Amino acid sequence: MSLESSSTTVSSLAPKEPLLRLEAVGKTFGTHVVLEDIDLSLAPGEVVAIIGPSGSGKSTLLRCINQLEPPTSGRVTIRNTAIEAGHTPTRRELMALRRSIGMVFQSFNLFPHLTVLRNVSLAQERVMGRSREAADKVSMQLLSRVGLADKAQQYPSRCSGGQQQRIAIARALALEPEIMLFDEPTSALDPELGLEVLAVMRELAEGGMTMIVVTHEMHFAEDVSDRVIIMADGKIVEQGPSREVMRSPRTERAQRFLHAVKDR
Amino acid sequence: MTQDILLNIALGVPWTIALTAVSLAIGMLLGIPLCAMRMSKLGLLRAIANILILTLRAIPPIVWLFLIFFGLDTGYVSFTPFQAASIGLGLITAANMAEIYRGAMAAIHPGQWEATHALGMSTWYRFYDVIAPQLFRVALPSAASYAIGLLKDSAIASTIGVNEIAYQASHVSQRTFRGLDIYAVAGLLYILLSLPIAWASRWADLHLRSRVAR
Repeated sequence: MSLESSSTTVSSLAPKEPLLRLEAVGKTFGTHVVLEDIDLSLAPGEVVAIIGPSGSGKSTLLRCINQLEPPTSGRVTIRNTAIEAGHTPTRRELMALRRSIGMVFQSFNLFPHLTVLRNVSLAQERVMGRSREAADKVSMQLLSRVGLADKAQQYPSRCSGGQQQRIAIARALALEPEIMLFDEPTSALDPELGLEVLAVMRELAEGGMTMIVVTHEMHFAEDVSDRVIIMADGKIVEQGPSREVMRSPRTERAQRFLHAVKDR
Repeated sequence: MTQDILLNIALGVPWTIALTAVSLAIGMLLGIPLCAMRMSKLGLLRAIANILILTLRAIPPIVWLFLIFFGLDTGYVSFTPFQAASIGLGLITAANMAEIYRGAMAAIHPGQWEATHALGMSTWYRFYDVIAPQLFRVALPSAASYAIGLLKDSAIASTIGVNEIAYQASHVSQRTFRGLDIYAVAGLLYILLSLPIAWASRWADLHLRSRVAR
């Protein structure tokens, strides 16, 4: 996979806040424009929900932030590290960037050949250089926090989807990220199992974690997030305080989307 | 059939096992870089790998053994029959293993790569901790059937004088002017040797199957 062969560079900048800033970020695959001119900034502790129809570029936007998809234009700044489209970041810069950003996927992506405990401990050892004992200790704490300490010695295939997703959250948290990205974390789960994942996320948000959540869970967007962003056709069509955007959207495109979703 | 005859045929068993094991080891090891080249982003590496794999697989094994054993015997390099057979069958196995690995690679869920990237793991750990263990599990059934094929193909090493089962059988047959029973025993030995490989592979597959994301 050519995730590192991107076209981006890193330079140091001064400003302290916000924690994350996207400036005119764009992404095209060939002639197909997936993201266009995205500006977004995130203060520490802020929780942002991104909603919108499928194919609107929500997931791609998330993946551009941690360079899983290198943007083709614009600039992504995390704290004082800026990654500019068009220059390749060094491996070390990329690893540092990704260490400060945790990511949770729609399909969990746990390592099926490792026990739950090893899943959570692996990157701590390989990326942070923790000893196995230290890593396992942290992992057990995190697994307790998501209510799965008793699953530590099981393999992921023995866990339900909701449990797997909570393990994936623990795995991401183990690297002590400053920002957590959630890419439709409950979309592969039936509603009941989705709830236990949402509960963990709600707790994280209340604990002050900075989060960006791409989701179809309208209640979560309205109740838990501070801000809602509605995307359509690769652009941000509306954003603002959650309740305001969800209840009285101003743009026609946002109204149309919310209308369709709420009518179900 | 006398014990003497049986014993003489059975003397070939260790050589058959050794030749199969050594060729397989060479092939499994060299198959890794070959597969990496085959999947490289650099066109030149890919082309080299393609030509190597094509050549190794297109020329019959017996011709390879003759080429190495008789053809390379220049006075500077010369191989014992066992060495020549190991190198020949090992290289052919490498080409086949490279293709088996490549197929297995495609079977691993793309999310596994993404997860390691998102966690900031280095290329080495990505393969060592996450991709390779799953690759091995996926490749195992194909590798095992290949190994059984290799066990049988190792008989062609008798043509350059490796005293494995087929060589011993033909030797005893010529000495005693008996054919049917002697080659039947040889055949039985090949069956007995391939059964454990098949069993082990099935057992391993059953136990490891659930631990791969596909």
